[in-house]
Amino acid sequence: MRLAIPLFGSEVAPRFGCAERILVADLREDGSWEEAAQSLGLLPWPARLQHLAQLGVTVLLCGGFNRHWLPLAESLGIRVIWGLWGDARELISAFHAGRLQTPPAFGHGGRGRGRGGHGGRGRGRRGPFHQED
Amino acid sequence: MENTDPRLYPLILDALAEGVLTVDPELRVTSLNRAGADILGVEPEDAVGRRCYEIFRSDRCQEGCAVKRTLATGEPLRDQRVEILDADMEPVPVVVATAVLRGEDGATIGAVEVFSDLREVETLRRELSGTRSLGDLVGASPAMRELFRLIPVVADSDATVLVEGPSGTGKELVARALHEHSPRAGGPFVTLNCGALPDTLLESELFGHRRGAFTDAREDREGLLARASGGTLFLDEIGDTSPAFQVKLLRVLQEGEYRPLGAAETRKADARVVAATNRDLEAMVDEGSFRRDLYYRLRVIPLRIPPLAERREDIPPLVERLMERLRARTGKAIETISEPALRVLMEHDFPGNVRELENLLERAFVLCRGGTIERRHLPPELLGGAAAAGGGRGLRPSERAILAAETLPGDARRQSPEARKLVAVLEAHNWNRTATARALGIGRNTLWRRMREYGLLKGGGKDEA
Repeated sequence: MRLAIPLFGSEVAPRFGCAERILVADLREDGSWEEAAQSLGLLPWPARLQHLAQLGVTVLLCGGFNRHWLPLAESLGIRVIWGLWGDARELISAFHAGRLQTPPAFGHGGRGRGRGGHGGRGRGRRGPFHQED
Repeated sequence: MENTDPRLYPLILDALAEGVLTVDPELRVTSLNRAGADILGVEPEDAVGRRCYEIFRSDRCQEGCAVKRTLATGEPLRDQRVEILDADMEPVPVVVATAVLRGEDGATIGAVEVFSDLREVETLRRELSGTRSLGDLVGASPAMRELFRLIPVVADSDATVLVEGPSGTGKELVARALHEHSPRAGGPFVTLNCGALPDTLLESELFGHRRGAFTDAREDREGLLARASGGTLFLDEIGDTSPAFQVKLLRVLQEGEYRPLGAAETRKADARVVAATNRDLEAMVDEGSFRRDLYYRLRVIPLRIPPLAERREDIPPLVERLMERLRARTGKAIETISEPALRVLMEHDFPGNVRELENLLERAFVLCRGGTIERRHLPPELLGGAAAAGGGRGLRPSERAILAAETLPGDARRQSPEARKLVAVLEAHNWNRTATARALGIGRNTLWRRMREYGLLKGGGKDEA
């Protein structure tokens, strides 16, 4: 499985649509992965999503993701997990271990959705990665 | 405030209509008031301790963050317009002001960010100006307002739609808006540019093929019709298809069935078809180059987008929307366009329509070093007279250097009459080389050679879109 994560330094970028670099990781069954950073530059929507699809990416881990583009991501076969923060490689590891919470579908529930973070690093951050239901 | 009990400060902050967020020098949130929590969709206790960009998710967080600038310079910033994503990933326009926070000893202990939700203001402003928007479409003209009224109504049915309009007017945006307002919105939106491919390839792309159907068919391949199942299939440049292909497409529309190349059985099609053309299909029907039965099948519901020159009142809201997008894309804090520059745009005929306007603004964003796009940031040929001959005259030295870096060495070649004619035809055909070559009556290879000669290829100029 190939996943991508937009970068902001070594952290996941707050917005996929503004990220200039991504980390593409090929997950292996033994829990390891092979990774390569790539430039997205100022590639506009929807080309940046189509670029991921061309790379064979099927999962996108990100902070913010404009919901307007979610149907396109789905049609391209890319599952988007948003609302994440923290170290990019820790997130890949957590996803690989099945410890990333899949966010609820858009359009359901009330304010505060997407909360219950996935970070866990640094002073003042709350709890570890969530166990997937 | 000197006589106010500090214990009342949280209550006072919560009574404000604006969001108020404070951070420490490492950008960790130290407080968030009620209004801020409502705008961001996050509870204050969940926000505290997190980096501000993790909950603010603005289009400036990664490049051009106002809080960072204030912390670095100590200077307050006002009226910074940004777009954030709330917890539902809904884009929210906000205006931001920042100031540094100092302790009793004068040392910087953090910054405060005050932000207001602009959604209501923008809706009211659009109402007052008559501007409407739908998806990525925006306009104030009667033609566009009628389009915005029709799209949600038309989207509800599965009827085939034909979108007519010149190149660069946003036909795909109309198709996308139809898809997004339809019951098929959860399904895929698949695009096929019919003018870009020769017949056999077009059929293979649309219907798919079985292994061995033709020389290069080494494995079974699903077509776009199958991939669009449950969603919408957008067939662009439908007027460029051959009569043989038109027959096959007609069968899909009439019988809801198709046969992949090399397959023995037919398959059911389950995609809503939206077609688009920049050609006069009715005239093509009259002259016999487009099938009348297919024309009527496609044109169950016709939607027309007029050229931008016929709806100049759409230019200001389009400029605003495009600048918003360019700000997000480039991270540049260019907030406005000057009146004289806007007047130049309003007077231009825009043969390339909205796409041309977008290109002009993109160029202006590259050149502009301040917060306002001025007349001098527009191409000389739009300004007329001495400016047109000057090629960059009026630009500041730093802007001229940028222009030189952006346009040379191919610029001189690209300014020749032959090159400009070629660019005009390419623009008219959406930089599609097959269609351009056909329009010019030359082969694709000859076209490629000419594009190379004039520096219009990748690396030496603009490449095919």
